Amino acid sequence: MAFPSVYEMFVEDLTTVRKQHFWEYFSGATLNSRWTTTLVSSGTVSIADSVDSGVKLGTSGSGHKATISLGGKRFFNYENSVFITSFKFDATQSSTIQSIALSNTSIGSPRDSGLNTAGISDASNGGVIYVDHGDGGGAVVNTATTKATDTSFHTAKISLNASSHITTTIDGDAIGSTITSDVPVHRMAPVVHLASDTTKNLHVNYIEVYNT
Amino acid sequence: MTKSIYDQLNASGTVAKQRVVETFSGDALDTDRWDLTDINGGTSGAMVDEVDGGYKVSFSTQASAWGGLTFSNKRQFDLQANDSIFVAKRTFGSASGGFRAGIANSTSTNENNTVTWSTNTAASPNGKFFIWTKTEAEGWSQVKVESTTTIDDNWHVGKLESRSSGVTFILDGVTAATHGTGQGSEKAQPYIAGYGTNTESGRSFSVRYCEVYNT
Repeated sequence: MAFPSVYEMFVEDLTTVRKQHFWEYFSGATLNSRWTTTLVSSGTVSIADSVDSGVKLGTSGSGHKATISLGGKRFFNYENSVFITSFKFDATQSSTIQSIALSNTSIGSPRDSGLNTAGISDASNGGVIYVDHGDGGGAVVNTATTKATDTSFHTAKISLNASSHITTTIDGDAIGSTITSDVPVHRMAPVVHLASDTTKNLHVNYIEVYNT
Repeated sequence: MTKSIYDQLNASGTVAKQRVVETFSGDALDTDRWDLTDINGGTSGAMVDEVDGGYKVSFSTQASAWGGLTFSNKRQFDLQANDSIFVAKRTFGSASGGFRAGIANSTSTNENNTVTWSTNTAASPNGKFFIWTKTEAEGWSQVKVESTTTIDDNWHVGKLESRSSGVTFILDGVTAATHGTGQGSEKAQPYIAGYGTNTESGRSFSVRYCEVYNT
């Protein structure tokens, strides 16, 4: 036994007052009620009945969208916070946006203009993972990385650091440069979003967010 | 690297005992698990849209408003072999009252078989954080053991170690008070509830972490 409590697994000892820390395994019969689901047209959200698949966001026709969020309860800071997710994108396609982020939106795409966002996406047949970042003024910037998208599970880690810069890793490897412009200035919460005009599924089997 | 939570928290070969960990993050309180128990009226609650905000229980201007979070009398924890950890803060200002956090057998106003740490200025002998316990046999001659730390409106982490031999209260990592009389083998549930003595507006408490486990 290494620790007496979960508290002490994450915080060195009880002299430190723990900050907000959230994790979700997406295991169970249905999506936990702490998530808010927003569907457009016939978008779907369900827990997948397959090994390691977690939650599945689905579309099957024109204009379909599916989003899960914390319903506008934004516990996580725009700096000194960490966001980790394990996900599986569907194949890249021209009408499809797949994004997972910290954002101050609670009902739609974290790539929408005017949002504070720090996340990753695959969009519009880009074929590479984008780092999405926005400071609430104008469009969210979609910075392309050299990391090609595929249909396997990966783990992304986004660190929002004290000096207002964002670093991103995929499966432990840094992707892209450290981002220092158009970085969030507002508290945020996790958002998963899929929009497509065709049949697509976005899987997420883990999300963890914490203030440091 | 140990790959299981079991191995992190349990000695090899032992049967894991009941444990709950709640981070109070989400769009709403997980009501599959928690009940906002309005013990004496005047209680409401909501998740807070703030960094590190957690869940806030607010009180109306009702005198003796009293309520908080419980498991609605699903009591999986042992009063005499249990640790509980809460990260919480009171927001009472100069108003009389505060919250108590720990485990309790009852959600009623008789408060029988309860082990808590308290920030209730109305009950604190000298305005300090204190252990508050009450067994059924003790009746209203309940136990108060004060620390030397003055009650305030800041976030704190409080841990109670409740055993058959006594109760230890650890505030922000430092042993703050001990009670040498042990508890009986009563079943109990996580409990964090606040009390407002008078009729001031703006009284509340917030909680962003709870962990309770049998030892």
